[in-house]
Amino acid sequence: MSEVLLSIENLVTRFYTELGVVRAVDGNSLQLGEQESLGVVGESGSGKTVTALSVMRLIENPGRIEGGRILFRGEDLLRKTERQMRAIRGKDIAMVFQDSLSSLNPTLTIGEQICRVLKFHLGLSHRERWQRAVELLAQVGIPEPERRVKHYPHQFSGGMRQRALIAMAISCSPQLLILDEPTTALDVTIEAQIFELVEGLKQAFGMGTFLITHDLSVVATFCDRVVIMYAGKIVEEAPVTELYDRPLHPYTRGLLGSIPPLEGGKDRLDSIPGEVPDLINLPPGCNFSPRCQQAGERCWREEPPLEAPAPGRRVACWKAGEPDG
Amino acid sequence: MAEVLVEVRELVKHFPAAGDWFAQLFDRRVVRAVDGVSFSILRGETLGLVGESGSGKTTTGRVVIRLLEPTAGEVLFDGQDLVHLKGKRLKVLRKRMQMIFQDPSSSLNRRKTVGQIVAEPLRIHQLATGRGLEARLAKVVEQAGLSTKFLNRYPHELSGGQRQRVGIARALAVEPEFIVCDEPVTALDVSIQAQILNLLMDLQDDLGLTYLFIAHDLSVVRHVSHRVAVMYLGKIVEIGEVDKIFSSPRHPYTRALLAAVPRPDPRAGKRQVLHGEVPSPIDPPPGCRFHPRCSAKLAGICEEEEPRLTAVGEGTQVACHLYAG
Repeated sequence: MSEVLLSIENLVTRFYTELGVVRAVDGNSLQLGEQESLGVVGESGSGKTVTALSVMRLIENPGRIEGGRILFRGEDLLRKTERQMRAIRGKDIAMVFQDSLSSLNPTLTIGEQICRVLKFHLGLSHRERWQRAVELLAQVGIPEPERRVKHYPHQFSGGMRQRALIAMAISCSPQLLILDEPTTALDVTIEAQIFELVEGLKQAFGMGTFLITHDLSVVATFCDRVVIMYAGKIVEEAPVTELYDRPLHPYTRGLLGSIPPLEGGKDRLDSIPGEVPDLINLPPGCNFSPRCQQAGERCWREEPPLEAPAPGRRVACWKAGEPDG
Repeated sequence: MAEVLVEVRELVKHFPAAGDWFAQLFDRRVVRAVDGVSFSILRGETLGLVGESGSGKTTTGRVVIRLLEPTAGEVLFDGQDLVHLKGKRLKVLRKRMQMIFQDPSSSLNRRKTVGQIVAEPLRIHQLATGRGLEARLAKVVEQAGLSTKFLNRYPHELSGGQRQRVGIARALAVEPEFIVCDEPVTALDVSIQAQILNLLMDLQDDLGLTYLFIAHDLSVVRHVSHRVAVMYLGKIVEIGEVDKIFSSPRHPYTRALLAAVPRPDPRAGKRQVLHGEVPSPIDPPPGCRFHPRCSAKLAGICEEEEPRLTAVGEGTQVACHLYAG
């Protein structure tokens, strides 16, 4: 791996709700190299978005980051003041959210919103900012950028709004781009367009990307390395080809088996029984044990540590690599 | 050969482009959501309906069971003209068709218990009371894979997958023959998605159900359907057996759509990207509606003449000038 861009060490983020303590991220560590594409995959409640929001320091009450370090180019983001974080957010680290409609301000034009970011981080004169905004829209493939820059978010289609958000995110040439389910609400054809765009920008800017998704197919086409999360914990990590060739964790195998193949020929999907556990009342032992076909005595009692069975690979399972039942 | 259960002929559904009657005084434009669609569904089979947002697939599903009144065209259900039926005779026919909705959270009344929700169609059609009702409720809830203890719970106490099972139980309550499934797994996590797809397929085998399965996820449609219809801007561009369409797609749009789907395989190579977006259904392009985005466009003809759906062998029909004559 190249220079480390982002290193998360033993991150613990919890939410103190009326019903109890939600262990959203429970002692996770991961690293992202410069210009690397990391995919973080999990279902709802796995803690993938909370991990990203912790990096951005955007965890709000009743949530708290309770432990660990988040090193960005060697500096601990958890020790920064809010003022210092504002200078980093949107400039060195940018984030694109899933729902483009609610992450844009409906009362400002797309151009005004891009210009605000440019003004805050880079200064620039009024004229330079507008010129730059038009260039950015052109760069993300929005046709007629001179006209579109004066439009409001509701005048854009879903795919175009997502492009505008990406334009805003790359406006200050960030080193790290966090993408939180950037195409989940979009059609496949538009999804393919967005990833083609991000791939090009990644090359052009030399950005590292942190892609949060539930879709293992998207990860296969876009990422170098994958982290699988389940109920607040990392359960597996591997370089992308190895993960698909030889998944070690039963949960990863279950996820892969749940995808209907486009080529057909499968009568029944190997679904994972049961539901994601309640993060307030996690089961004893391994979090996945109640749904795991292979779980045994030890799995119900003791939590498996995240171990490295081979270079570049990590897995947290007592029965890692054993063939299915 | 099996009998035809649902037959749709030249179905048209237009909506006024303007919101209310006042705005409509000044704006007479119409949204051509469904613009001349014909297909039939055999008893016991699943017809998949795919297309991007704005293709008219959801509107088609709703008009087919007359949740919406068609602007023109015919829908024959088991030989009876559904469009012109009224009163009691319509109600009798309605009992034989049901719908499963995309978003299980908004399609269930949150003030009612699961038992009350599932009992509602039975009450409306006066099918069961007292003991009989209880036994019937227990049966359908179990068919949908829930235990009877859920009957006294409210939707907010359930997970997304459980809510969708309630939606399925409600649809099954009146013992329908035909179910329109409108994106039934889109809002669910991957592992839960597989559970619901398996359930729907088991129910079809056990109860001999006929499905119109609407989805934008091609892998899912491939998995559940016997035949598939591809829609683009209110028209069917290709229809035929699912294996034939997925292994040798003919229409350039079907080919582009399939090439855009990401595979859960890092070696699958780059996704082909279809550029541009679906044009507005208020003012669809003349000639073939796909021609502005088509890479195989024939000069002189595709811009002017609308292609008709023509048989091209192996039970497939395609609406494209490349295959005419």
